Amino acid sequence: MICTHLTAQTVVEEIKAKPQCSAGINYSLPTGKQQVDTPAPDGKKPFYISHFGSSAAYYLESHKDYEAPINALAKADSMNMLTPLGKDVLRRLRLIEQDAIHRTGEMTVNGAQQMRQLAQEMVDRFPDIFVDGSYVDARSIVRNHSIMSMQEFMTQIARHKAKMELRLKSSHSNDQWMYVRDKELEADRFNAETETSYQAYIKANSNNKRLWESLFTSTDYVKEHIDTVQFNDQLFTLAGGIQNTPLDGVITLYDIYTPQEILEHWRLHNAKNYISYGGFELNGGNQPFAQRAPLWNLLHQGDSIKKLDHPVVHLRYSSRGMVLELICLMELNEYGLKTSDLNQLEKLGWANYRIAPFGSSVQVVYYRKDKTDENILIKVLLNGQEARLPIETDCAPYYHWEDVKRYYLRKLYAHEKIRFDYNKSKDE
Amino acid sequence: MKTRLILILLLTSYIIPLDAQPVLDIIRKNPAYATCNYNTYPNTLYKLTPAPKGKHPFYISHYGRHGSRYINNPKGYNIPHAMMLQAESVDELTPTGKKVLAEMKTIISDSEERWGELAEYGRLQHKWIAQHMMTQFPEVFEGNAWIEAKSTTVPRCIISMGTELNEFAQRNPQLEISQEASKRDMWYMNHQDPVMKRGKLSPDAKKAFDKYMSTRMGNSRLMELIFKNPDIVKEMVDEDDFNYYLMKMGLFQLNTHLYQNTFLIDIFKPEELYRMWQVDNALWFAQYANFTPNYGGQYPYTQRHLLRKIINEADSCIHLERHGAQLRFGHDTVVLPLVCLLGINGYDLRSDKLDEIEGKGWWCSDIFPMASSLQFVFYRSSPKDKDILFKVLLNEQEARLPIHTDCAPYYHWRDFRRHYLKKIDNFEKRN
Repeated sequence: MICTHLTAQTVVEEIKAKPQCSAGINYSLPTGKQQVDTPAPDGKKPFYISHFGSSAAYYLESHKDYEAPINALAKADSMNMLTPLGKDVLRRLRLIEQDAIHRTGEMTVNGAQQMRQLAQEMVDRFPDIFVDGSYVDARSIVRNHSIMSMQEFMTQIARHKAKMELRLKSSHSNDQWMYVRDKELEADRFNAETETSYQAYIKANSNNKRLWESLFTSTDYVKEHIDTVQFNDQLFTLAGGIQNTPLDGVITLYDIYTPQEILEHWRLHNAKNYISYGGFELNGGNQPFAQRAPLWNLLHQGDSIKKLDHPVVHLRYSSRGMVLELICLMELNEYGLKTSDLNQLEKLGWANYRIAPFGSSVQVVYYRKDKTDENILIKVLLNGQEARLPIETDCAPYYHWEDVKRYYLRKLYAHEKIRFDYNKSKDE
Repeated sequence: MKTRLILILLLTSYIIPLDAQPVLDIIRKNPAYATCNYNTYPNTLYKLTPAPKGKHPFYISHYGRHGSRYINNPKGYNIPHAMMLQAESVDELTPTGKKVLAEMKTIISDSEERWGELAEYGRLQHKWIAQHMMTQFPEVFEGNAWIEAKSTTVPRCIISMGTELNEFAQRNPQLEISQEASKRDMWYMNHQDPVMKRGKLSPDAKKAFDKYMSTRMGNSRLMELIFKNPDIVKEMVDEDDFNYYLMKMGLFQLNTHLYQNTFLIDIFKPEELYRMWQVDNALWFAQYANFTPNYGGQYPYTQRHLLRKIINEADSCIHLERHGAQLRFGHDTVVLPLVCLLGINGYDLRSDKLDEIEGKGWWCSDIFPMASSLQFVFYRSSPKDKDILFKVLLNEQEARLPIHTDCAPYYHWRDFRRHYLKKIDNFEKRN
C-alpha cells in the first residue's frame, strides 16, 4: 500500500533473504549499486547538494555491551550450565569483544570503506557539482565516529579536483541545529498508553524458549540467574554488529536463531525506533518535530544559495536517530506514517533498516538553468534513491522548490502554534 | 683539530644561533611569541639543504600538534572576567576598564560552545603544512605513495589530520591514504605517565619556580589604567592573576577569528609581555624538560614509547619499495618532551637554575606553537641502500641532533637508532 520498496520485497521476505537487515539501524547501507537518475526537465543542471547523513558503522559505545553477555555465559559455564552450542557462542562472543577492545564508539574499517564508496558514488553521479571552484563544506557533530565518517567521505571527494574549496568542521556551536534534542517530546515518548502497547508487543514477540534450551542445560538456571530481556537484546545486538566489522564472513551468530526468531527480534527494535522517532499516534505522533531545526536550516540554506556562481555542497554528519526523525518529518516515501498499531509497521513497509541504517542520508539536490532561473527544482535522494515527497508536482521525482518550501514552512508553523499554545496553557 | 672543534660546537648545549634576536625583540614584532604554546604558526616555506648526493627522500615520519584552537575551558577567561565584574559593580572601572570589560564579553561569548575546538586559522595551518611537505619532498608523495595517518581521539587533532589529508589527496589523487583516531594508539600517541604526571612539580622545583616567578608578576601600570582606585580595588582584584590572565586572554585571540582586534594586546607594553613569557617559559622548562630539581629532570622520558614506536616503524618502513609517510597528530605536551628527549637544537639542556635557561636559548615558543611538528625525512639511493640517511625538521626547519654526523644536517639512521634505543633502554633499566 505505502512505503513500497524498490525491490518490492516485503519486509518479512527481505529479512528472511538477508538476516543482516534485522540489525535495523545497525545495518549498513549497501554500496556499489548504480542508481538511475531521472533526467532533469528543461535542461536544468544540479548546482547544490544539501546533505544530512548519519555516520558509518561503529563499535558499540560501551564496553559493557560486549562484556555483559559474556559474563552471563561465562558464569553459567563455570557452573557447567552451558550446552556445547552455548560454549561455542561464548567463544564467538569473546572474539567479538577482542575485536572491539579499545575501539568502543569508533568507526570500523568496514564503515570507512562504506564512506569512501558513498562519496565516490556522489562524485560520479553529479559531475556538474564537483568542478573547479566548487565549495564543499562538511560538518560533523562532536563524536569520534561522526568526525571520522565525515573525513573518510571528504578525503575521497578531495581526490576528485584540486581546485575545490574543502572545509571540515566539528563544533558544539552547531549542535543547536545538527544534534538536537527536544526534552518535552522525549518526555512523552513512552507515556503510559505507549508503554502498555509496547509491552504487549514485546510479549507477543518474545518466544525464546527454544533458544534458551539450545544454549543452557537448565531452564531453571536461566530463570534464576539470567535477566532474559536484557541478555536477549544484548546478544542479538552483537549478532547484528558482526557485519560491520572485520569479523564479517568469519563468524556469525545468526545460526543460533530460527528465521522467525530473527524476525521477532527485529520487530522489537523496529517498534522501539518507530515509537521514539516516528509518528506513533499513542505518544502524540510528533516525535519527528524534534528535528525542526535541521529542517529550518535546510530551507534557509536552499534559499541563500540559489544565486551563487559556483556549486555548493553542504555535508552534515549527525546520528541515525536524527536522520530517521528528519525523514519522518519530511514524510519521504510516506515514512511519516501515523498509526497506533505496531503490528501495522511491517505490513506498511516502515522498516528501520530501510530508513536510517549506518551511512543513511537525505540529500536534497537543487537544479537550475542558470543564476537567473526563478523556477528552481529539487529532488530528494533517500539513501541514494529518488524519493517521493508529500507534495504535488508536475515533474516527479522533481519538485518545485517554492512548493517544497511552502509545504514544509506551513508544517513547521503549524507545529510552532501547537508549542506556543501548549506553553501558554502551562503558564496559565 | 678543526673537525673536533666543529663537533664540540655541534654537541654543545647552547642553542642560540649567532644571528638570534633577544626574546624581547621577537615579542615586539610578534606578540604571540610571548604565549609559548599558544604561539601561532607562520606560513613560511624554508630553504632546505639539497638531498645528499645520489639519494632521494622516500619516507617521512611525523608527529605534529593540532593547529590553532580555542582555549580549552572557560576557567582562564573567567578569572579576570569575574574580577572585572566585581569592580564594575562598585563603579571602579575607568573608561579604558569599561572597554576592556566589553572586549572580554565578546571573547567569552565567541568561545562559548567552542572550547578546545580547532579554529579556522588552525585548519589553514595544516593546509599550509601539507602544501609545504609536498613542495619540499615531492618524491615522497609521488604516484601511488602511501600515507598512514593517526590522530589522538581529541576532535581538534582529528580535524587537523583530515585537513592535511584532504590537501594531499587533492594534489595527488592516486595516494593510498588511511586515517584512524583510536584509543588503541593512545598509549604512545598521548602517553600519560602514572608517576611523572603532567604539570606536576616536586616541592623543590615549586620553590625554585615560585622564587623565579615572584619578581616578574604584577603590573601596577595596568591597575592604574583599568581601575579608578587601584589600591582599594585590590580587595577584589588579585593584581598578579589579573595581569597574567588578561594578557593571555588578549594574546590567545591571535589564534581565533578575532585576531584582527588587538585592543587587549595593545594595552600591554612589550616588556610586560616579555615578563609573562619568562614565567611561562620557566614553568614549561620546570615541568616538561630537564629541570633537575623536578624529580631529576626525567620528564622527557615519558615520550620513550612514542620514540620507540617511531624507530620501530621507521625500521620497517625503510624496507618498503613504495614511498610513503606516517603522520601522527597529537599535542604540545607530547611535542615538547619529545624534542627534549631527542635533544633537538640543544633543548635537552639540563639545568637546576631557571635564571640561566633563557640565556642559553631554551625558548619553548620555538618548539611547540600551534601546529608544531617534527618530521624525520629519510633518504636512500634505492630500496637496497644499506646506509639510510635522514634529517629532522622542527617546525619545518632543519634541526640539529646531539649525535655525531659527517653529513649534517643529515644523520645516519643506524647511528640514530643505536644511540636513542640505548638511551631509552638505559632509562627503563634504571627505573
